[in-house]
Amino acid sequence: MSTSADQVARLLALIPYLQARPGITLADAAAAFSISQKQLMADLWVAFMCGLPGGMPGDLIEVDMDAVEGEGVIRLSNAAVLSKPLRLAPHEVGTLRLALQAVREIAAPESYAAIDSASGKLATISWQDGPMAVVSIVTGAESVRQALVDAREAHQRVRLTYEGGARGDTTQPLVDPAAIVVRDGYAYLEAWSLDRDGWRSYRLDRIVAVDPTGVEGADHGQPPLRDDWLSDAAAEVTLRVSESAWWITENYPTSATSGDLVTLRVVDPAWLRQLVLRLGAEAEVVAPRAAQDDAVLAAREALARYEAWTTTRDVLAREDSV
Amino acid sequence: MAPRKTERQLNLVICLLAARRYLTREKIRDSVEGYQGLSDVAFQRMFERDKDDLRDLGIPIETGSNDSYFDDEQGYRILPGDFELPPVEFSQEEQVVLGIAAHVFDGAGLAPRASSALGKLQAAGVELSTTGFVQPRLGGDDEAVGVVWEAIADRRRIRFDYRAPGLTRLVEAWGVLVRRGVWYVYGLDLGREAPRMFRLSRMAGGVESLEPAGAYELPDRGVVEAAAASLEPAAVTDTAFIAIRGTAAPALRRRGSVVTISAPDGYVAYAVPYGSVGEIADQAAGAAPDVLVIGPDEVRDATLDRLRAVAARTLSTELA
Repeated sequence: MSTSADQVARLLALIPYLQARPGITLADAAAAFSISQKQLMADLWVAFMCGLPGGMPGDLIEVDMDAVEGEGVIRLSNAAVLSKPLRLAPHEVGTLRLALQAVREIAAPESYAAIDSASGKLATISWQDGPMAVVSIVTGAESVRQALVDAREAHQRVRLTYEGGARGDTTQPLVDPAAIVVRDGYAYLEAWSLDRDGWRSYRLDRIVAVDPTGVEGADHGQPPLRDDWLSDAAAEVTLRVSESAWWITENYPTSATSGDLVTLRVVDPAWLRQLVLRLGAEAEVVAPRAAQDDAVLAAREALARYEAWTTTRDVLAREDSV
Repeated sequence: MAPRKTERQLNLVICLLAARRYLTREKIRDSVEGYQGLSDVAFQRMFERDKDDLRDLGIPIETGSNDSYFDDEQGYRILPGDFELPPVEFSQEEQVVLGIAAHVFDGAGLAPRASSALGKLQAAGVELSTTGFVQPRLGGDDEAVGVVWEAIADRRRIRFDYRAPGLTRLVEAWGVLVRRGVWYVYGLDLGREAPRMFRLSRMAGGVESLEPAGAYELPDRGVVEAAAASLEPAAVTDTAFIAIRGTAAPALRRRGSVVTISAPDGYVAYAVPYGSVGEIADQAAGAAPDVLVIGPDEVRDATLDRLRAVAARTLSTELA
């Protein structure tokens, strides 16, 4: 879409929006339309030049540009023809309904009714159905989501029961919940950990229980933005990957690919170990060689244990049959 | 240049919306600021382009004549009833969830479509509020997302190279699936004459949306839902017996239950339901040696295959 088409589309919503809110500030109006104040000023100058045919003063849309430039407030009038916005296009309705599906995946169950009814209303306001879409996000149990939302609304500190990361131990961190976010299709709780005295992310599907403490939570500001789970400390590991395992390039942070070589960014050695073990013959670490040692040792130990166990079982079986 | 064009097109919309009757081209040329002083050819060309641009925005410009008894010249108008968003009200709770939905595509391919939709709703009186606690994001940064999305809305066929340049597909797209952050499009592959699923990230070199609009019909929503279901893990049908050491593999322990069959020293045996051998073998191999498979044989063998492939490799310390 060209800039000009964007601007026409926006003005057709902006003009009725501003008429209904006389005296709104530039800042509020710009925020509502996700545009800069500079862009909004440009839009207002266009509106100022438009109106009914004839071009006489009474025909034009009135915008008090002195108030805009002096006080930063907008008063727009004499645009009765544009008192209502243009109907939504099917792709616009579809976009909002898709967004609502994403909200429903991670929201507390108490919000389902509002999500469904809002989506139902949207479905009726275009001339044709929007695109079909199905969303799935890896998220926690409904009871966990509800408990977190309740704790947040009551500003309560909670104790999580968390079945942790790659090493798999269960912990019970004491946290102040700050946000439920989604990264790469997984829902996480961003919370201030009292034990670690810092921000931590907890995968929602690994939170088994949320227990209120009755203690009021403290304000720690905003959790840091994380585009993904990479950190600067990530090491680069290059694997030779067969066609059947090529999916890892789309699911994990990949810094380069070349032929059948894939370079991944690895923060946690335990994560790399389990990836190499599960891929088996489908992938092999080529650089640095030592990055694979953990996995090789784990596989050898496992095979030794299988061997020992099979022998024991055979002995037991023979004794049983005697 | 852009402001002049925007002004002219906005004036044209206002003029056609205010008209009680069909307006002829000549009348429009006289009335709308920006068309005066042009040659006939230049005016015709500019008017055609403006009309197309506005229709692309979804503005219903009607063509007709005021008098059906005479062979009147064709004229144009916009009926307010077709143009305007019908009355719609959202409750406080609905406005809260819309406020959360407003940010789902922040910085992603569908962001401009979400913004324009929300601008219209706000113009109709909707106030978006947000708690800020729940922050869903769907990603979809590929440029292909927006093109595919509008193509489905308009029922236009799409053409793209898949996996590598030159491997061209022609597809009637039915719907979009977003699973674990990966975007797929599902539809009829005209070359293969069968439904196929494509990852948007594998569309090498962008997607082309083809004329005309309305080129095909959409199937039932159930067809797209079934495709989405096929991406989920297979339904649980079998039980594996798995030995787990200590607190390792919480996901497997939680799915399973302790059983009293013999297990290696230091391990506890669990019965774990599973849907696909590959999936449970991935998990068991990934958590080795804290997890050992007791049976059935096919799960044990698949796990051992993975472990043997890795165990046979040379350690960095063993290199000469």
